Amino acid sequence: MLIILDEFALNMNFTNENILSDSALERVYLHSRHSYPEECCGFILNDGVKECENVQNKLHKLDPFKYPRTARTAFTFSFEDLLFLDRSFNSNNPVRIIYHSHPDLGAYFSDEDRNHAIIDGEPIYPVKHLVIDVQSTRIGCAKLFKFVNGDYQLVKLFDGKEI
Amino acid sequence: MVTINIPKVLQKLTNYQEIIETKGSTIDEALNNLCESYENLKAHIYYPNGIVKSHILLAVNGNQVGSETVLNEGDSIDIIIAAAGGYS
Repeated sequence: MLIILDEFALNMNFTNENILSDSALERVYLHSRHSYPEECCGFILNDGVKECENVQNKLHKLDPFKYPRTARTAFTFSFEDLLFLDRSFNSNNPVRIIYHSHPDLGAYFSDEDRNHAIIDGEPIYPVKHLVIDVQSTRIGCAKLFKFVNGDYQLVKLFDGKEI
Repeated sequence: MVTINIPKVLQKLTNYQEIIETKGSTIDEALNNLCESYENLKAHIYYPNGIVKSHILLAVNGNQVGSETVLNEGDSIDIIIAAAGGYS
């Protein structure tokens, strides 16, 4: 199920991280498939997964000039979910990973993702990002990115699944 | 007085203060007072035309509000940065 990118992971000392259980990954995969062909988003915490609402379609409908993308190619967390995220860092159950899916586009940390995750060379939130490659009949794979040396870099690759 | 909670990523611009007390009868006034004290914050919160940036969300006592919102003594303001993304 889990493939560790050995050399990179060893160099970066990521092999001891046990931050994503099989059951959490399964829930994230199901969320991605149920949301297909639109992007989904959510949080992985110490004790589980919080599926969130992608409000991109609402924003697009409200103001298509300001928000030209729909949920087919973009995601935005709701205010309530952002408040949850923000406050989680002062709790004993902080968000560890922000996840979102890329329908039919592959799992990669896009420039758009990067622009919304980094300010002045620092991560906006102290989290890793998981990007899921979701296709019409299956999950292609998922990739975990961690902020290292000024950018989000791939640290783990997870196999896909028929789901 | 009201308090403003600064997002962690911007705290280096406020001498690493997380909560700042300031004056203001509206959110906008309070934010402007904040930016007068910490000038480098302004470019992160406002567009050059004085409008709050679209990825900056504001809350008072946990409820999302606009920058015109009238404040009461003791209100707590959250500055929350939107999390978003998509393919490119």
